[in-house]
Amino acid sequence: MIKTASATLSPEILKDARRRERRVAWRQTRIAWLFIAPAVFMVSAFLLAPVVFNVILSFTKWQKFTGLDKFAGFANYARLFAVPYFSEALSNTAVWVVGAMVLPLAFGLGLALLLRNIPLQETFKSLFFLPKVMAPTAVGAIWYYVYAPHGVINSAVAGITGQPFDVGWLYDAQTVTPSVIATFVWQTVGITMVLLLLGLAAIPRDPIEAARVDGASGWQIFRHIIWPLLLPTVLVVTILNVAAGFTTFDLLWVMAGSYPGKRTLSLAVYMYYESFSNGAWAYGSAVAVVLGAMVIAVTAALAVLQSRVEKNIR
Amino acid sequence: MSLIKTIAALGLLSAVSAGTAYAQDLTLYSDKTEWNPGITAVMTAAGTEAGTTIKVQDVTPTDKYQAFMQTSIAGNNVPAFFTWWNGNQLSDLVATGVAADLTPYWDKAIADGDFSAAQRDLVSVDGKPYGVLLNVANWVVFYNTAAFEKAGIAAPPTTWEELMADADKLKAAGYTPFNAPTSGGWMPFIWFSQLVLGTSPDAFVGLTDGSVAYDGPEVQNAFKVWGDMYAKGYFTDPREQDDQKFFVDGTAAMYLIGDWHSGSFAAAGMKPGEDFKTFLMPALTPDVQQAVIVEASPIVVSAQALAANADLGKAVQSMMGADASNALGSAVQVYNGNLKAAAPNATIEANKEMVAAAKPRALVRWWEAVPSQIQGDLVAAMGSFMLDPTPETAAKSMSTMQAINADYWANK
Repeated sequence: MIKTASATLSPEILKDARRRERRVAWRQTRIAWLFIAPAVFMVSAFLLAPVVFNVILSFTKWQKFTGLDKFAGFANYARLFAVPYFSEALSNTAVWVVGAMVLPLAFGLGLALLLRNIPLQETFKSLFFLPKVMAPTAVGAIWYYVYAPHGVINSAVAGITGQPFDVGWLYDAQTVTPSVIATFVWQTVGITMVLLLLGLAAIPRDPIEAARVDGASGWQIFRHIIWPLLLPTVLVVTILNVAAGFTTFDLLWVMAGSYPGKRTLSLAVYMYYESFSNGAWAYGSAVAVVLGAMVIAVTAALAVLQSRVEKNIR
Repeated sequence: MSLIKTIAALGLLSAVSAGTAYAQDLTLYSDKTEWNPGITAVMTAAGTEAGTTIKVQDVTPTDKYQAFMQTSIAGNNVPAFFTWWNGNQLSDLVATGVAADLTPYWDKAIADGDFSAAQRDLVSVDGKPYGVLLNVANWVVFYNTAAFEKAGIAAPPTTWEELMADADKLKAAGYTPFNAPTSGGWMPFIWFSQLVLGTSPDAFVGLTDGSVAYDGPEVQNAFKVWGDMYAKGYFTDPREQDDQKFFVDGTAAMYLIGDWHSGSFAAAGMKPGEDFKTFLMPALTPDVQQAVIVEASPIVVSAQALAANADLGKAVQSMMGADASNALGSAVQVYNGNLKAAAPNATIEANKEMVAAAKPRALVRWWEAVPSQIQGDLVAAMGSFMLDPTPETAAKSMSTMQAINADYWANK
């Protein structure tokens, strides 16, 4: 018969050992807290506290210079549906989110598949990645002149056709959002491609080779092997791009600064104008809360989907 | 111990330097970039009077300047001096308590004959003046004399029919009749407010106090006339960001704007009174009273800064003197209304006489009269129409503006 160590030790010794164990654990916890305390402080002071303050503000009557101490209830939220600009900004944001989600992914995936295993792969990767290292304001300033009334596109088309060509890319409600989204895609496609290339590199070669031996076509291999195994990376890229789509501001600020309807080009821009230009601080806070809630809801849903996909792969 | 001493010494040093910076480096903030040389001249002289240095810092365009100033005021970081607007904009500012009551300085300026009591009213809220006048301008139609001559127009129009007939003649002569930009975040209101004013001055006032709807008959008429004028090709490309380009380069023959702009035209090489002259915009129908927009731009002084440094009062008094007005006028040809100062150019002098003779109903500009909380949103809707001047966009713009207007007054 084998006796366990605990059976041979007296209860006092065991109690003492457990006490020492707890002491060590508590010491370790204290040290751990000491290390993470600066981060906790920074996140609380500069992220969580402003978010909480913003939510509180959205229930006040703070407008221009007064009303911070007056409770408004849900009046600011009710106002979102009383003025037409919110719904315009919301629908433009929806276009942005879909565009930012689908287009960089489609082009990035196409480029990743195209550039895989070809000569000068690194050179091409660097070239496509280059726009990402530029500041969005610099990108916006460059593309402003591409789209300007006498800019690159209009002049090029006029030069080629010999006919006057004058499309107000950044001055027309129909074209301004697609034009800026195209610039966003130009800047984002490189990083999307690099992330997808990393995902592709992580896919094991064996099932692909086996499928080839069994006579599977390229499309079948992509559809049934590459795509399912790439899906976790695709979802990470999607989460990043969706968040960028929801909160887009800098490109619109620079490129569409001269467009009179600029304030409704996205919820982030609308929030800025309501708060900082109109002085409707409380109402702007309500817009920010709605925007934040949408970003959290959509990214959380995508994160849940991502974890399920990863579980299925395992 | 030595570390503590070093930190204490550095702290003391930074506190002293911060205090010194507050005491010596005063700044005037402005969105009026074109007037920078004139404002700088005025503030340099004012700073010398007060024994300090006053720098001039521009923040443009106007909507960004408004955002900058609002955050500065909300953060209790009010500049010592800053340009502002009169009307509702000034009332909102005065309610915060940041603007200094300038009654003693205005009393002296009136006693010295520099300004009149009527001019003081332009920058007063509840009877107290809160600004030094930087600009007092009549809104007139500038016209290119060579274009009028080439089109065979002998005298400027006095009725709307004559104006439209002249526009046709100018178009036939190869000119675009009117320069009408959307730049700067504010310009789209110019033609909108003028056409409402020309339809009914009372309706114009009603738009700014909530008693007239932005989709009412007067506004509908304004949009109809505006759309018809666009359809006839009377206006320049609204996308041009240099607001005076088409007038200065001779593309456009007329430009409806405040007469402070005469200095910019002169700076671009046009001679006031020779290359360009002005006339008062006629009402749309003869039965409507002739009206003129009077624009007044104040420089506001921070109450805190004035209380902290009594010598700044000398700077304020200097800014209201004839020398300051002449310095401003000679640098940028802007007139602040000083009665002892000379008009900066022939056009401004002629405008003063023209307005005195016509005795039109003088009204505060729409931009200053409308509640500042909705001003930008309303201008955006007007700008949308200028970029797509169709009846459909007009209807949408009116509906949008009225929704914003109704929401504001319902919740005020």
